[in-house]
Amino acid sequence: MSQYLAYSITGMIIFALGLHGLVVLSHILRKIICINVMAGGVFLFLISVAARNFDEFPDPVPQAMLLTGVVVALSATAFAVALARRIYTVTGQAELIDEDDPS
Amino acid sequence: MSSPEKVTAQIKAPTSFLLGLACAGIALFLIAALIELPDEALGLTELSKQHMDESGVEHPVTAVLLNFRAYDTWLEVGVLLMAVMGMLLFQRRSDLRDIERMPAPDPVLNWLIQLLFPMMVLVSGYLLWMGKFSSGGAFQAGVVLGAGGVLLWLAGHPSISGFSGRLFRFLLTVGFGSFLLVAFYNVLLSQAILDYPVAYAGTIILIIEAAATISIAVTVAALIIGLQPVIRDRDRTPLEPH
Repeated sequence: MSQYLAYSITGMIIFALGLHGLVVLSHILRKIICINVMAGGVFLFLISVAARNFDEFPDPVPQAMLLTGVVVALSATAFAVALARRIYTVTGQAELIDEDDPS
Repeated sequence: MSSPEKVTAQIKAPTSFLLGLACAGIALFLIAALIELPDEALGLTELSKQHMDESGVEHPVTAVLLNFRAYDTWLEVGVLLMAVMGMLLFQRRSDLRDIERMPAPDPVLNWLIQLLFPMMVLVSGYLLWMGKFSSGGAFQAGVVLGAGGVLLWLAGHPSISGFSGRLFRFLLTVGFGSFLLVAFYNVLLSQAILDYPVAYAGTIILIIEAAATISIAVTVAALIIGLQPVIRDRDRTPLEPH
């Protein structure tokens, strides 16, 4: 019981760390990496919550979601990098800066 | 991508600190929700156990992926397809044939590839077959095979950029298409859209998984190879008819 909880809590902390990076950092590549860190937290949560319902085998549904999620995260990241490259070729910069903000 | 100029957070320190507090709050909130989860809930383990006999496979995760929740897997293969389509769309091309190749490999790398690539194909096939009994299946097998494709390309071989446009597109869509064929057949017989007959479920799952493996492998390899910086920058040229 408590073992899965330790992993789940770690997953949530990783998720929050990624979220913080996503809102604070302005470089697009860093934001993409932060989204992947968040995804890592969610994956850790999913795989540990599967062990919660242990009955002969762990709950297969979160495991299946994790399995497809990893591959989808990889391809979504690649697509995001393609978008970032396009933004860089069009605008010449790879940072998202709020122009209304005088900082 | 950008020159090594200063790449720092644009947000001022106090704002950053407040955002950090907010994120810590979110983390605490999520952890509280985790601890509140009821202990006795058995999730879907029981339900999957009851229906394992009808699934056609012996491993519960594969049964969930390819049978009980095949809809999810179908649409996730669709998401992969859309990611590749989106990337190709931004690069204004329909296949990877015009990509510039890496320089020819040195002998040691070539020797290593000759050793490793057949092993990767073998491991991929093994993982695909193992999905029926144990951990394994289309996604793992596809990623290993895709990594093999990337390895070949990194060593200067054409890899998937050697495929003709038609073959490339066929391989990209065959995984999604095999699900679609099963669904179409079931609709014709007015059955549930992804319902396999119990007697053939194992065979159908293996065929769909094999198709999905190929699609996932080509998708992953295309996404990685297609993003390499050696590609000609055609972003500013007008769209050419193919």
